[in-house]
Amino acid sequence: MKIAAKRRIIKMKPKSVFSKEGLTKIQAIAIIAIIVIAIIAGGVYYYITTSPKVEGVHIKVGIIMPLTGALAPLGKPTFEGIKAAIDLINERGGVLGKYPVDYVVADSKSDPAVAKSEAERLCTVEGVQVIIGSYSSGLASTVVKVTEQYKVVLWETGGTFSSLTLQGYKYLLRPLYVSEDWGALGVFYLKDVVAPKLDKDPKDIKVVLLHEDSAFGQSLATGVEEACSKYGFDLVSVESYPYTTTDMSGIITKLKGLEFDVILHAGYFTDTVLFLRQSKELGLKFPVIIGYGVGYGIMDLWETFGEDIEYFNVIDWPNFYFVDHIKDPEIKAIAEEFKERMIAYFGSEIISDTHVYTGFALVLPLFTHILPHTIEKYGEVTPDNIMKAAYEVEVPKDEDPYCSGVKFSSPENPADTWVGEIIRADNPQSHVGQNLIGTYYGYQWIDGELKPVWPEEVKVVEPVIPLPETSPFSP
Amino acid sequence: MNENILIQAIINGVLLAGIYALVTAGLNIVYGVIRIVNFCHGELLGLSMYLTYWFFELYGIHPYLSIPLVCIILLLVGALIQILVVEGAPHEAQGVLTLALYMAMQGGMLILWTSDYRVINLPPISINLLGVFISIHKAVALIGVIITTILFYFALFKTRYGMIMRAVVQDPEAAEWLGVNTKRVRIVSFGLGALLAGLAGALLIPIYYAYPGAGLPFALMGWVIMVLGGLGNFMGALAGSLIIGVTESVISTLYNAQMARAISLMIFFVVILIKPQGLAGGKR
Repeated sequence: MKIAAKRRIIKMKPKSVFSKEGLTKIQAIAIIAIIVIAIIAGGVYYYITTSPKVEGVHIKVGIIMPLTGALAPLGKPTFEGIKAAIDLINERGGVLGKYPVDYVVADSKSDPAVAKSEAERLCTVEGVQVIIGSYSSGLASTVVKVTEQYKVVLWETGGTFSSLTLQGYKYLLRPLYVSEDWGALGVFYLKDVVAPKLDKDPKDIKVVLLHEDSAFGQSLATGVEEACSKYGFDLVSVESYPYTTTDMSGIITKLKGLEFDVILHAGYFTDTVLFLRQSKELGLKFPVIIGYGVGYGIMDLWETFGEDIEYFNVIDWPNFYFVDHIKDPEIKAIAEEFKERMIAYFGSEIISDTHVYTGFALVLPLFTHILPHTIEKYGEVTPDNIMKAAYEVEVPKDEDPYCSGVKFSSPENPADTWVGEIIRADNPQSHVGQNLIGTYYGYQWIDGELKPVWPEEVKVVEPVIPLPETSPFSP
Repeated sequence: MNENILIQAIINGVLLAGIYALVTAGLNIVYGVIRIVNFCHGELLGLSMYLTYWFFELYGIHPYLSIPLVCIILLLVGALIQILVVEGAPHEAQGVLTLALYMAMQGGMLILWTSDYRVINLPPISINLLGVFISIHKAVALIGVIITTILFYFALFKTRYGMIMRAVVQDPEAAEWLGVNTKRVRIVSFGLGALLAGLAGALLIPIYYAYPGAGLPFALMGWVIMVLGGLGNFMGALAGSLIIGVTESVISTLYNAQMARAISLMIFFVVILIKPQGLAGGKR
């Protein structure tokens, strides 16, 4: 025992690196040699793999997605859609039928720091002209700084927070619609679909807004509040919470003490599951619920709750039902082949999935409209030429697999979105690189499928409102 | 404010406190004997959630029935961690090693089971007592805490091995002089801490969901409550859990969720300012 104690004391004494207990000279030389070899190997790898700045018609894009980590359940299906879109274009000979698209994939691991270093690698080592990504608002805000620094186009397919396109970024294009307008579109749905079904005026409809408090949830909540104010809905309570919460019983108990007609809920998947589970346990009742896609639009929610969420309303991106609404025969043929391929790969339940389809729908116009125009008008595919082409081209609704059309605002003509022009006419926003004519759609969960019910032109079934008595949440 | 709502909020808080107490108990036993903050406790809890999930998914074993099996596995995992990772390292590095283990375990779970959320589809059930709803799953977790606390109390104070453990807690060197195998006591203690994480995970999976990192939010609150109650003190942890649980529930019902977390942590800071050793500190 004494010997052991003595040894411990000796060990704690400061000692020379080359002392008996420390490194021997051979060990030190070996470590230095390994470090030197690693540096040289890294340099050689960089030299071999770095392609010169691309000029002429050589198209190389980078896809950066959260393929692992917390956002992977949503990032992976989006990636599948993006990858399939590029494969389908390449199988047709590439852009304009003759310029294949070379692509490299990077995993951001759901971590903004990793997203930044991967984006740097794509811009410098890989020499891509466009980065497609980056899935979430937190990741997008990191990646966009890199793409601006290296003057590479960022084609943003997931980060919806409004302020991203309010910074005047010169190499950012966001075909996706902004989260503030996503929130507002929930209220448009309330006005167009729910109010007539309840046979009530907006001022007589009491609304509760529940949202997680990250940039996404807060931005979405702003849109809901602006639109409720515009149309006169009675917003009786706004409840926010951290999406990492492990208990929502306090909020639910509070809601039980309120009188209301509709819950609007913007959450991620885990907090949505927690909210619905605890609501059922604590006996919370509501005539109507409108959930926003991230938490409410994924198949996992049906698998978790089954018929308990029958006739829940969801505002989300398009899903495979929208293939039927594409008018352009060439685009429709690609979309139909994509649908068949995805059904073969995932099974028929993929029809409801919005992430796989939207990944595909948001990138296809880049290869069917923007890049062809870049090549035809400017010859070389450079980030600057892509940006010029993107500002010039308008993708018509009929040729857009998303079914809304694409029209980007430019730095010379910053503008507000079509929803923004309605709900904040007095205080318009100046978006740059934003698709001004995008949208979100209204759905209901019916028989395990997310069926489009709004707007009228995409409706496949009549929505059931309010919740029928068979629902465990019906008052 | 409806009277029922306030009663409901308090009951929700007590049930929440049960979950916090269960998590903190495992942390306390490791700190009490080995004197380290176990940073991989959340991942042990996550591991047990996964194990319970897979027993249910693959073999149809109800989460409550798989508790003994999960607890035994976690006991062995904990003992192995102590033998292979913690025991041989200098004491100053042991806490950091559990932090490294936390990262390694999270990476391992990500590789093994991906980042998908795993939910056990058990119907959320509750009983309605005069308009106050009590979640059965949370009530089971609370009963689990009460039984565990009683069992641990008897094990520590009424058995010979409990006496040996207390001796090691009070003076490890003297215990060793008297012939106690302190190494074995440390291994058993880490194993018991992991066993409690196993119990917590199995009781939590019907309420929450498993994913790599699922245990971390619970472990975070566990660490706060462990300090609030007094490091290594079981009764202090129970009191701390009740204070945090009921405060969070009542404040989020009366005001909002952000205010609830802020006020509960403010209470924590005030208690630590007044009594740095925690509510029951100094009387282990």
